[in-house]
Amino acid sequence: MHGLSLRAMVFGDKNRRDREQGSEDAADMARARAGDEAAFSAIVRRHQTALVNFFRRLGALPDAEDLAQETFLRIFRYRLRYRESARFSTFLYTVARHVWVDRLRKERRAETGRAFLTQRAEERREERRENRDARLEAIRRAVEDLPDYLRMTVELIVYQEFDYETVARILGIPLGTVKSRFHEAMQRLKRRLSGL
Amino acid sequence: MKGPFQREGDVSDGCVRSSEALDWALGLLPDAMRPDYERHLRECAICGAEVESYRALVEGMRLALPDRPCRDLVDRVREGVAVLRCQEERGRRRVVWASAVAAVLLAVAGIGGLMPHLRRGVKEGVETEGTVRRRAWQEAARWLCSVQQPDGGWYRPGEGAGEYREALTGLAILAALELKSEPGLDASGRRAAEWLANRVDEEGKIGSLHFPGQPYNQGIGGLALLRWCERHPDSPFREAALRAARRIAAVQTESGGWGYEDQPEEPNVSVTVWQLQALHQALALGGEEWMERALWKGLRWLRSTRNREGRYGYRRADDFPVGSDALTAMSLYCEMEVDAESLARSETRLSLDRVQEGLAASDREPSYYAAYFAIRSLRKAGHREFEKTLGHLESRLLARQETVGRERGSWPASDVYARVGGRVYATAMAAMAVYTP
Repeated sequence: MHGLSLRAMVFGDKNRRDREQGSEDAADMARARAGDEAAFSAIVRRHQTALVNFFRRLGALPDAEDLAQETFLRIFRYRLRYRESARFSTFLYTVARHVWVDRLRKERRAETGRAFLTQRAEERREERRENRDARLEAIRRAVEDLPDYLRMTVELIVYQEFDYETVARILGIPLGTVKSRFHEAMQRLKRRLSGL
Repeated sequence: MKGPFQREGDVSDGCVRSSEALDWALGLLPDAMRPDYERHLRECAICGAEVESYRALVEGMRLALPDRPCRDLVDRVREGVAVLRCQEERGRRRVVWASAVAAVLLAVAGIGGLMPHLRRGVKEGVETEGTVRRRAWQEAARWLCSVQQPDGGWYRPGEGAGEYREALTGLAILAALELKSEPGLDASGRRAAEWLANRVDEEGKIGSLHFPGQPYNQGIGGLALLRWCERHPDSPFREAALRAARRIAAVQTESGGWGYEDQPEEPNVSVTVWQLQALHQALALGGEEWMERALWKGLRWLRSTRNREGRYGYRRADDFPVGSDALTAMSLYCEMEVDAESLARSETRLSLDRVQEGLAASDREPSYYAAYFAIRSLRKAGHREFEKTLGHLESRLLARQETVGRERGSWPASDVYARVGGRVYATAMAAMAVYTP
């Protein structure tokens, strides 16, 4: 029963898709650098849903799309700096992380963080009302209550399906730290949800 | 009884290798460690249970916070990219210009030590759209101040048709009132208002010449003077401004519109929109009741030129001697400006759609005149679906501003109206069009 990992079971062909998508991204970025806006639009279309959900799960419910838009614009701005030796998705989520950090910093600086968090909590509650499954609701709450640094790691590994090495590059931290953070997060979740 | 790979007090209550269960369950275990752990899994029930619990947890996490579809962001991103391209283009042009200056300096003076400073000076940082706009206004303001005449008139001798000096000065005053926070503009605006006030004769007529363009001097000059006085309540020009407004009301045609002096019975939209705005401004400044009657009569005439599709004609409905886009934009904006309730009218919505369609369908750059009224009316309507059109048009306008040389900050006199208005007209209209309070 344990012969296949979850990743292999559920996302068995993800590596192949990643490779195909990676080569498409690289080709489109090269065309975008040469001024082809349609190529850049293709990149946006390919990654927009995952990116919006990335921000949404981190807690940017009201403006996940704005943050995704900002990420794509930064990618466009930095298109000449992008090297094809790096996987595009690593580049994309590194920029997305910076957008998220800037967003949090801005909120804190403006001292509207509390209102922002209250709004987020309200919207989360609204979403919860829609979710009538108590178990899923408990899992959702447990994930949302993780501290930001653990939640980001969980998001990148569980939802975006990156490996440790890629996450280390995206977050700019040592590989061992990524592993320990991820294990800590998952153990916290397991402990909290053990009664279900 | 614990097995050889188990110890007391472990979190998983058992196996020293249970920490690998999470990595294995998620496919994160390095390939080299995988076969060994898989052999272990076949023997260790504790790790097997760990793997199952992590699988269930991860599946639950994905179900609890699933990916949801989002709206297509391509159009939004494309608009942002257009703005970025403008910024990059401006940056490149600046670098070319500065490099040329640097080369000349080096060649002439041989001052190699200047090079690092020049490089620093021209380095283009990452700019926001707000920064680009702000700089566009600053440079437009600086250019406008630089071309004002010593007597306060705001025109350039030898450029455009000399008979429209009052109208041009009026346009520049209107721009100065909008960009008022830019250094020097308020003082320049005051001198221009004084120059204009001195051009209002005893009967309220602005400008001394009798020629076909006079209604523009009256309408635009009058509007500018009235608005200046409203924004500067202590201004000494109030009487002159109201005199100009009375003159406007007095020469209204029977039908309600305004036209050229040599064609008094042929009112047209192009002249009328400025007279209506001036009258509306006069009422805000304390104009008499009969001016209000003239305003509503004029508005009724203006509305009579709109056809069922929402397009305004030049002299009557369906009269389009030079197309309908600019006529519709200017008439619509005027109507929205003088009658706030027009925003709720279904005809207004029709005309807004025509303005947007006209901009989207045109493969040529719109005139500054048309662009100004189109942007103002769409912005005033405030509908979200116009954002794309607005962003695109504003980006194109920003890209046309001169960024180097003697005319830096101005817009080139490149449209049909620039023949009579020159760069002062182009710059005042474009700067107001891209200005957002």
